[in-house]
Amino acid sequence: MKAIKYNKTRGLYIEHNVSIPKIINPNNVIVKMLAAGICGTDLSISKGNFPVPDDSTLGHELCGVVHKIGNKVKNVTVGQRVAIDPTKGCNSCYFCDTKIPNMCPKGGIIKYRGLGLPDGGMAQYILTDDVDLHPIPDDLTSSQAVLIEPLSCLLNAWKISNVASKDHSKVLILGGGIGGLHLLNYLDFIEVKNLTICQRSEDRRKRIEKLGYKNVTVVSDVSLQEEYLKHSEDELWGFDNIIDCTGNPDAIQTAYNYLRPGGRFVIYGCCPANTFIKVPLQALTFKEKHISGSFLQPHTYGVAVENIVKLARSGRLELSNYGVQEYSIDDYKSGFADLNSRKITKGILLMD
Amino acid sequence: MKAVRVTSDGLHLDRNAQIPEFEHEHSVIIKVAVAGICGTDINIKNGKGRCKDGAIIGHETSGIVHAVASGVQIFKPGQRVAIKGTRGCGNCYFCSVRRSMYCKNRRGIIYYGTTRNGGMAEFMVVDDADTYLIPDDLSFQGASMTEPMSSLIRSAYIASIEDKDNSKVLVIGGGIAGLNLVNYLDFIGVKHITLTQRSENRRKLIANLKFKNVTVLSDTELHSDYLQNIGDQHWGFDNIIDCTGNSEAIENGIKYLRPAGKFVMYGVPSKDFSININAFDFMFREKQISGALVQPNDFEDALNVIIKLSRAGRLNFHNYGAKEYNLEDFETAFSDLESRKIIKAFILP
Repeated sequence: MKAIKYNKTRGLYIEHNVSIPKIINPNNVIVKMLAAGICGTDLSISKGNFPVPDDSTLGHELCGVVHKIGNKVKNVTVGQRVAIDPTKGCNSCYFCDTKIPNMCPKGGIIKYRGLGLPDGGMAQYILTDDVDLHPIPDDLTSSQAVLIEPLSCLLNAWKISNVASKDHSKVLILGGGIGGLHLLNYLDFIEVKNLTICQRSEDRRKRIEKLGYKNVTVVSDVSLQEEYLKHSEDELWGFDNIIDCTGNPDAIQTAYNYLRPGGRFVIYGCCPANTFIKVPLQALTFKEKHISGSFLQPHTYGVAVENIVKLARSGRLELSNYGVQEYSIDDYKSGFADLNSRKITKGILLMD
Repeated sequence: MKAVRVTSDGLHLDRNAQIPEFEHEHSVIIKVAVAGICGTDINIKNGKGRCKDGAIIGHETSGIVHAVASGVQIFKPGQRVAIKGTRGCGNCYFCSVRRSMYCKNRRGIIYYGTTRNGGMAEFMVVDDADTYLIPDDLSFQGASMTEPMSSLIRSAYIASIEDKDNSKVLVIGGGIAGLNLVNYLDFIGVKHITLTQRSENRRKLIANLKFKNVTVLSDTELHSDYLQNIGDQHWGFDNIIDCTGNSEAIENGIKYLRPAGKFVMYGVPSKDFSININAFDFMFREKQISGALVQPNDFEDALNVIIKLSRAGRLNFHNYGAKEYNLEDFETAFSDLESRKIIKAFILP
């Protein structure tokens, strides 16, 4: 079968003679892949900026159809379309016990399908466990289902944000790429009232404005900084919750200043390994500010499935409106290149 | 009356201060029994804190009701009370999210002892809304510890201890704040508490207090344990509360977080101290750093905690290295505290 892989020497490549995975234990399921999303992290991997084991298959935003099942599998049947939760913990450590398998030293990034040891779904078939699979309704397209995994990570970030009040808290999303857009879409849908999104480039701001959100203010980084400077004496100016979806060190450092007392800054966007934020600690103490990181997802996947279905049925998931484009798996290089050049916000590889 | 006032050149004993009068119909005049001295008071004395010029210092106060204004319904002369340091309006966004110290309508903390006259005096005027009855079996010293205990409870709340039986909690610094915090955490059933304290003398003192679930280490012992276990994601703490404000302690302390760990700044660092947070590490391991200040509504919870600790025999301050002083000896009290000769000073006007 075909699979998209990465290797330090060759970079990103397509391998045509990969063996089709086999059932190993009775709870395994072989899924025939339909769609796999290309994420910012995949882009980082392709550039050698995010470590993965050599020759692992990429792809962690997945939708497919059940192809073969092990003899103890009861939750899915052959032919069912499913979304695949990549998270896996060890089930027996402090982190798994406190429901954060994404932090499990043996699980977490190591066992995340498509980011660690297990092969991902930018391929024609993938080996999964029955517990990973979530059936999806017929009216959800496979490409829309690709957006489940990113939403599950955003749900984790939203939980970590610990917003006090959907009606009164002032929420700032940094970045209008797919992360920021997807989060904005979801938060508007659940009726968070005071949303601001900061996006540097004018064409991406236009895209957001075209989406026609009611409770959303769209600003540029320049205008936001001007507002901050104008209000430097006003203790009450600022945001209660800031979620960075850029991964850009300068954006993070600058926007940290926009927290108001009690505010929380969530580092969600995957920043480079040597990113530091300079934090004056007396001010953090006196103003009870918080900085929290958010990484992958602790099985928020199930809730993400429900919400993606609702978003789609509300007409909020017309992918082209969000800058998402589909490519055949053979054309994977264009998908990665268009994402890299910011021509698109997300690429989806289709296997058929 | 006698009172200790703050001026631009430090603290002065005013022997002829006016005995306070009612400010409005909800005023209560307290004959002060105990005014505790806190780290913030030391900063104020040294010109590093915010304080109204001429204000009487002291925000950890307990005493006896002396007189009540016409609108005061609950309190009567002779009752033993503790005084809350600060209050919000209860109606704005910040009050609604337990952050009354940023209250829009009161524009920040209105502390007795900073912007209003405080407790290092023979008498003090307060609002009835800031006055709390205390039981007869609670000492005035214990009652004066309610205010600092309320901000310690706040720090524990912000630390967000997930599982009292299994979460690993570290308190940095065994001064009065760290000790009281450890006392509280141990009392509420947190099972894995580590306390670091630099000085050996203080470690001995703490060992005498006989906490059940507390391991006391020197900062160097803990750091060497950290160095031996780098790379082991299970090593480290889930909740770390710094009670020192010391730059080196904080920089090292942040390294001791394990994945999803939360670091709480309780001790106040110096104004010019910044730290470089490793954003990638914080993201990848879901770590957190938070500031903790005070939450006026925690005072009532704190009073309940103080009463329970006292009844359990856990508030024996003299075992902690605390000492009482007359009002006239306030300078000695401050200098003994600053020179670390004692761990806590109580002024008895």
